[in-house]
Amino acid sequence: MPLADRALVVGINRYPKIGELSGAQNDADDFYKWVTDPAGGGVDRANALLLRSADFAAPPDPDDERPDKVLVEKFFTGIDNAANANNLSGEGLKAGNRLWLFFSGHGFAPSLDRSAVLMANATNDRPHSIAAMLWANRLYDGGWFNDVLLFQDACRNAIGDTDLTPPFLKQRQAPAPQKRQRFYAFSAKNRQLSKELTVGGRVNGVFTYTLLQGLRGQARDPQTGAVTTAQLKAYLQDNMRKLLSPADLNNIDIAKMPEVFDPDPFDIVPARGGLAIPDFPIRIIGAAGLDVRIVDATLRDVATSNPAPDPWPVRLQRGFFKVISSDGRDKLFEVTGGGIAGGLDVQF
Amino acid sequence: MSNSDNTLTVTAADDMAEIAVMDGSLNVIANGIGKFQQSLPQGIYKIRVRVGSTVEQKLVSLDKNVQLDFPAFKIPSPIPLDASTVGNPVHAGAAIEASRTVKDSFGTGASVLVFAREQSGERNPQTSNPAAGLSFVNENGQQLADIAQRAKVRLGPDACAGWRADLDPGPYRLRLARPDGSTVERAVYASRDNQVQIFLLQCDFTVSDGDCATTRMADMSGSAISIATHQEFSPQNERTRLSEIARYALTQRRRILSDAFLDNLLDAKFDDPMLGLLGAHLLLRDKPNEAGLFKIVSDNLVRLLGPDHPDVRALLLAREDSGNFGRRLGSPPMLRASWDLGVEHSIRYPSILSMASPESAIADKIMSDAPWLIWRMPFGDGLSTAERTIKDYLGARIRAETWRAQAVPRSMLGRLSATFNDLVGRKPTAAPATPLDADEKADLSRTLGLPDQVLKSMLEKLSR
Repeated sequence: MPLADRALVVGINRYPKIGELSGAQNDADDFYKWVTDPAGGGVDRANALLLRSADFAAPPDPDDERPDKVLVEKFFTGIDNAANANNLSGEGLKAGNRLWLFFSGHGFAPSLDRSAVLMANATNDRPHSIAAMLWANRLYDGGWFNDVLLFQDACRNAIGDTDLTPPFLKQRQAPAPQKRQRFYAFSAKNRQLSKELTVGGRVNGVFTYTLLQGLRGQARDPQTGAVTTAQLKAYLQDNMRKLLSPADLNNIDIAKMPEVFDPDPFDIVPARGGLAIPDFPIRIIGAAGLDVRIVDATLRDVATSNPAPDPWPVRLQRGFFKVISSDGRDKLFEVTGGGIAGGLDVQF
Repeated sequence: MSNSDNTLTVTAADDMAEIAVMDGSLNVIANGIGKFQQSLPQGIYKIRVRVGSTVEQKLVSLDKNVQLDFPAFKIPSPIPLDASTVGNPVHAGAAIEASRTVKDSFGTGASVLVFAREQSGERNPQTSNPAAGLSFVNENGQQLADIAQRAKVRLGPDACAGWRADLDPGPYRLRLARPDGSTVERAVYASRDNQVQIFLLQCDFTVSDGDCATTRMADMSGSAISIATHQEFSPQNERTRLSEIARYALTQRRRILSDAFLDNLLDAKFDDPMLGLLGAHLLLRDKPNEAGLFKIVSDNLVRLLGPDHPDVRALLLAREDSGNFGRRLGSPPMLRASWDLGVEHSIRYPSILSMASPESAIADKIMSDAPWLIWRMPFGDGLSTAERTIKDYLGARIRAETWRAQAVPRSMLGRLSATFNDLVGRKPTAAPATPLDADEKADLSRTLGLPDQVLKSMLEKLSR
């Protein structure tokens, strides 16, 4: 029997001692909804833990604010217990097939390895945190899962005097035959701040909004239909900036690109039959009256117009293209999807 | 190569530029560092070039042989380099002048430059001294100079403060008194005939007074260090720019060791030996089996910085013949990676960071930082940060053992007892703590940067 997938989804808006966030809980809600959707991440709800500020009443003492790290520790202990139970039943010392870790909240990271998400009872003096990447690495190295995916929508700026609490599960080495894969994506590069945005009256992190667009299908490989690690990485890199204001784009402290750690190529969301690969509205401008054609990355014709109107509207899937006109001009462009509308004007 | 293949050549001005070639499915089909040349099937490709945190990409149609050249990128750096995205000609000029002007003299043979500056712009209207709170101290913690007072300070939109002192070669510390009354320090090692230069931008500091008031302060964690063999600052120094790229690669796990860069390391062609130190750590991390290369590079560093430089001594620990050099650091190194080497080897050779060594005095105060070794001086009477972290770790471990015990199938009596406890709201009894084994202690040592003996002492203290 295949081992189950598991998910831990954390979204913290309420930080009484640090400063409130608006979109972290929405991020967690949206990710949880996707990851437990049979058409999405496919994790059984019984194996997915959602921890949000809204699930806990605000206590009189901010030190008692939750979600705190005890709740997260309990999840990790449950994973270890599951691995031990699976081992007893002859399925190996594994807790499951795939682990999804998603955190949205305040965070910090002096280095990639030491990135952390602050828990709700964090203060500047006591930045209670979960060392997300240390945990992901521990579970990956020890083979608790075949796949470990970590998404962290949190600032990576410096914070006061803190140290990361190492994972309490004892280090171990996965057996050699076990095939393992991992993919980690962080909303910001070193020392940068992550932004929130409002779409349709709902606040989300720019990273999570883009991530979910990609996972829901926009980052599918047009060739295979799967959301691969390469496709998701490129999707995040190309599209987070589309959601930022001009002021944010000019602010060097604001993250425009994620930091992605992706040593292993694999399908994050497998291809599913019957699902159309999304295409996006493109307008070719400045080719009026010319015979025009568009070729894809393999230099195969994908659209022609003889003569082209101005603008010439076409729909194209994500990828690299070249528009070529009868007067000998050509122009390369890339369709990345993303943003709010996903469209693109190509000035020819 | 088939008849339909064409050659793609990509050259980057930066030896350490990461070059990736992506096909139409956005899969990285080939990559290189510094340069790339390969025959590929006809088609459209995306070329992505990354230098530090800066990324540029171009599409290319390979229906013929194509050559793409990428110029040197600007990178964010506290050093007012011409090639910094936060560079500033006013700051560059002030840094040059400060590096040449001796404000204090405590000896001869080496010098230090401390240059603090504010990023210009409407968001940071600095009106106060960027060197506020900075002082220079000797290894015993005695203040040699109040830099905020002694520096040449420029206020206004391009606020900056520069201070140079001549001194004897050896270990010193840069201290920052923060607005909340706490103090952090970092090691500064002055090597003979060199000027060690520390550059600091300003950052927000949240004063935890309940109101979360934010103030601007020198950013010790984000600072940069270069070592100038000509004893003065040069905003055009290409090696200093490369060392900034190497600094980023070390903290962000980027692989940037090109053949050209390795040649530089091997030939010691660096007029900023900081590049050599960072490069040696990258070599150790990314090419751990290249013992011969590492020996040459570390020998070069001994020659350039002297055998007593603690970062050099830490690197020597990683050599097979480390016993020939006397396994010790001598003083706190500047790089966290050097300290981590010391900690790693102290697990096998505790004397490297023994309780009697000068650097062990800071071992329980080290902050979770990178790439620099920074520590917080005692503040208040409570536990140190490391002690609190270990206490948290031990608490989590006990809770996990308790939960594990609860999860084990129990007898009917046990289940009845648990149900009764739940009904009356009685918390389950914590499982007795299993003593940490050697592997767990080593894991704690490595993660927290605590030498073996210091960790043992802390565990003993916490068990009382």
